Amino acid sequence: MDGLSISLTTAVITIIVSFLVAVIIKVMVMILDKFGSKIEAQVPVAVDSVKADDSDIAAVIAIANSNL
Amino acid sequence: MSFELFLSAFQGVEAVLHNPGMFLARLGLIALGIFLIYLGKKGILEPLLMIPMGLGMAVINASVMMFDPLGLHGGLGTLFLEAQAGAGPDPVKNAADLMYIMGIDWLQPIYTFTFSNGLIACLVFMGIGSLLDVGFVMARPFLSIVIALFAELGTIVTLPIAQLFGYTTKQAAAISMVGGADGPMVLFTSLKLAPELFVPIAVVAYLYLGLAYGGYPYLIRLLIPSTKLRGTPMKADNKASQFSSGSKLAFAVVACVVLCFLFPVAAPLLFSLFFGIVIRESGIKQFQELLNGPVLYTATMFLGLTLGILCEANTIFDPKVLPLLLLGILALLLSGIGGIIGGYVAYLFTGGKVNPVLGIAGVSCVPTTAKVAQKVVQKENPQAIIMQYALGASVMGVITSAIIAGVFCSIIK
Repeated sequence: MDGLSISLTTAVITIIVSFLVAVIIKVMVMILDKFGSKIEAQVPVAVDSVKADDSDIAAVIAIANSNL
Repeated sequence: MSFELFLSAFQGVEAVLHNPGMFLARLGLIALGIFLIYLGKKGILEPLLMIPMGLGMAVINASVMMFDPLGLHGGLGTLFLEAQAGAGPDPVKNAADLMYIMGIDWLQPIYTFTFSNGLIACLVFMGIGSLLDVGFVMARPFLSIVIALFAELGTIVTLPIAQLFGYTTKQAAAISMVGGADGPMVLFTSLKLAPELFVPIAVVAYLYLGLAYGGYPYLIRLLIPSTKLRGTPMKADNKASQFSSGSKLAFAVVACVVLCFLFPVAAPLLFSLFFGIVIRESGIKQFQELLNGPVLYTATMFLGLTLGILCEANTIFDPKVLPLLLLGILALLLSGIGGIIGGYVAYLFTGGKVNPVLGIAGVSCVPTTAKVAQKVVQKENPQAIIMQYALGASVMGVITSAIIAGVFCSIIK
């Protein structure tokens, strides 16, 4: 195979596999939402969301300020 | 005192007289090494990589002496490392050469046992994995994947162009991986496909990855001239934080197994990335601190140092290496352009809800390009926070680079 054919083949396979990964993620999120809700229902919603928001913002700020 | 005795006392001078032409090239690389240290200190280039690399580059070109135990460099050499040791066709001689050099060159054990087998790339990936929050990918998988795919433009386009420069298909594929902007992935692919070009490809890739950090903001301003567009705010959402660590752990395990099943050749690198993610999400603090502290920083330091040491004038000014300098920057430039096109596509398809600057984050240099995107946006609009979206695209960029590396290693025989 010449370089152009390899490039095109790679592009097609990469697009298919990447979307497969995205579909797997979406399906997993849906499944986890469905089965995870029962466990999370036991946690007081207000407290949980405050903690989650804080940790999310903290994580983003930490990465933005990191030296890496 | 005779002139010969004087020369033997100052072996560096003797080496200069042995090959005066190469001395000019060495002087140029010494100056470049010092300049990289300056740019690293100023924060224009990534200091974690550029300071060890710059010093290594300057010192290796200053430390050349009349020493060439394997007879590979016309009588000149150093006491740092010999990248060609053990790379010959005879396995018995290779083993003997390696053992001999290992007892002389102080950095040879680091190079042989961590660099040339890809271990250092895997260690860096474990550290990066332990810093990654896959919640950003899980929150918006399709947006992240579209941007990441566009940002692979350089990888796809550079391969046939590299062939036009006379490189074989395997060499061209290894060179084109620079467009993925993922250092460990470049090291890994060049080891698998073109070990004879491993050193120059690694050097060019990391040198340009450092430059991308400083150059991409200019590319963004060039391709997105409207300051209003660059400052487009994106809806603040905390979708990523909705996922429990258990959900992220489950995703990482399944994704790791599926990708390793599809691309066994890239399995060491994929495993390393997801191992870091799994450690993070399983809450083992001791391992997490080990990976994102000592392991990541030790590996990064020795990576930079070894890359600098490899920038010896004989290697860099090899006629076969010079086109690499052009192809490497072309690959990264095209990937940056592709990413921004992806950003524009997302902007148009969402009716202006996505900031097109986000596209640059698809070039997978985690988390550097995400930080570049955030900084450019914040300069135009201090209220705009796109970091959580940018990290999603960046993480997905790592995954698409791993997929391409796997495809290259599988289909190119």
